[in-house]
Amino acid sequence: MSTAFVPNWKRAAAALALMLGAVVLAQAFTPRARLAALSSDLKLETAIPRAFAGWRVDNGTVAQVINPQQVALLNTLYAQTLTRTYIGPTGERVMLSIAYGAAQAGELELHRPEVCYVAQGFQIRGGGHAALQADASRVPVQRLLASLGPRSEPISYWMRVGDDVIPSGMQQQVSRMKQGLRGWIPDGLLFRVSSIATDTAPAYAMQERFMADLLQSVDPRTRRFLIGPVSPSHAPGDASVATTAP
Amino acid sequence: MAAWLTPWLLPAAGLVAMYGPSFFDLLNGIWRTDEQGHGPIVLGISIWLLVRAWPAAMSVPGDRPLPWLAWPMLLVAAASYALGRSQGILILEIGSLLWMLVGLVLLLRGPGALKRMWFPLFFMLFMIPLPGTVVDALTQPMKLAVSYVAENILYRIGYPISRTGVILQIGQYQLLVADACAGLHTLFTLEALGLLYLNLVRHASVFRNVALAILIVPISFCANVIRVMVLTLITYHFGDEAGQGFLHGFAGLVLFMAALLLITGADSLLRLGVRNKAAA
Repeated sequence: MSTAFVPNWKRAAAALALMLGAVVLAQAFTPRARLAALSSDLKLETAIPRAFAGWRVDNGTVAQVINPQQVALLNTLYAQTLTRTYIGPTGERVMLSIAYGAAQAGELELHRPEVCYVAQGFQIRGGGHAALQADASRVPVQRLLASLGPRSEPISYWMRVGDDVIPSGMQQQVSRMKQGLRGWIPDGLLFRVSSIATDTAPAYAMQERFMADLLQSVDPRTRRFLIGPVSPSHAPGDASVATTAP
Repeated sequence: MAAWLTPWLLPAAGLVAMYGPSFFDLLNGIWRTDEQGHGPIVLGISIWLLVRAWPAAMSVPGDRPLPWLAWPMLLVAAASYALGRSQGILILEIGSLLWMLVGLVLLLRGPGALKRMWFPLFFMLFMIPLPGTVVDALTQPMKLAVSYVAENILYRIGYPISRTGVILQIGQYQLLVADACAGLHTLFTLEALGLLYLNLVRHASVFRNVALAILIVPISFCANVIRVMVLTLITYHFGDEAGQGFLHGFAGLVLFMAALLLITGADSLLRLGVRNKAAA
């Protein structure tokens, strides 16, 4: 029997070599550079104007009912959040919500509205896709319709993961992995607007007008923060977007 | 004894180098959450089961290694680990452990040993964290179904209850059926414990084993309905404070008690059925 163990040793050693190789490979491909440098001193509160193109912040809105558990979750998920209600030129109201996370990894991933609203008891229907034309770049927008009893809330949103603006959840993972394999930990931003309306078509049109107006009104740096691109390869020589090691 | 043990020291060291950090991260991360709280228990039980099955697996007469099958598995495992670990995809990272173990056993011992170890390896499936999108996709319909059934039963027995999606309105109270209450993780925990029970009891009847394993899915659903109903009734009769306070934990206990009773009940019925068949 003892001769049978000679090849076993060799095989065991070969298996160990393969396993250590996997460990080294995993280490080598682990992304370490954060794409979040652009945002390190950008404050959403001041970067997003309170009045632009006929829209202004509605100060009269009653403060929202705050759910403490919800706030705790939001604070662990996101580095910055902004929630405002704007009134348009003809009195229309739109709710804006921006959530920003500095590192998209595992637990800290952006939560898509499809999941958030359902967890709050809403029912969600897909409302198709749309596209904003913001100067040179095209921003894909996802439309949803959330309903809870009589409340009907059309939603339009986009998500930015690092350099990519993405419409769906599957692409969130793919995009994160693509940038991860290039050595970057992408940041993530969710830009969501919604309004209360039963007639959805004009509501979506109004929301898209709001989003386009806002993108036209912010300074270039904020615009890139909202829709990308943010990685240094897209901005040679721009010191403000250099990556930082964590 | 030392002769058959020593070649295993090398891959054992490799396993520690690969998965030591992984499990360290899990224990400090999602295994602390309610949804994945069963992970460390499953890991512990898997290791114990593996140790228990080991001597028998190593002494299968005439067992021959199958390197042609083992190496491709080990390569898949290594690639899946490298991608999963570096990009934070837990299903690949932790899932690769199964491929790795199967490959190692085939490489160093053979299919006979693998056959003896199938259950501990299968059991490990329950500790692989599923991606959030999959969990959400499975949890939402379960939540709706649990709320729907709980609402209907309580309405039939005369409570003033109504439902909008996953929000229950009873009397002046409004309850949101949370993710944890729909219990994808309770399903996993119960299924894991049920399988462990079956494995330890070692019924001779294959039918009874399979039937009970499948029955655990509806049983866990019923247990969740009971839990939601108990919580709803506590809130209705004793107020919001009681429903959210210590009685919330009590309802969790009710869930496991109910599930345990249902499982043993189903098992007794199955035993009866099997015995009658044998007698006939």
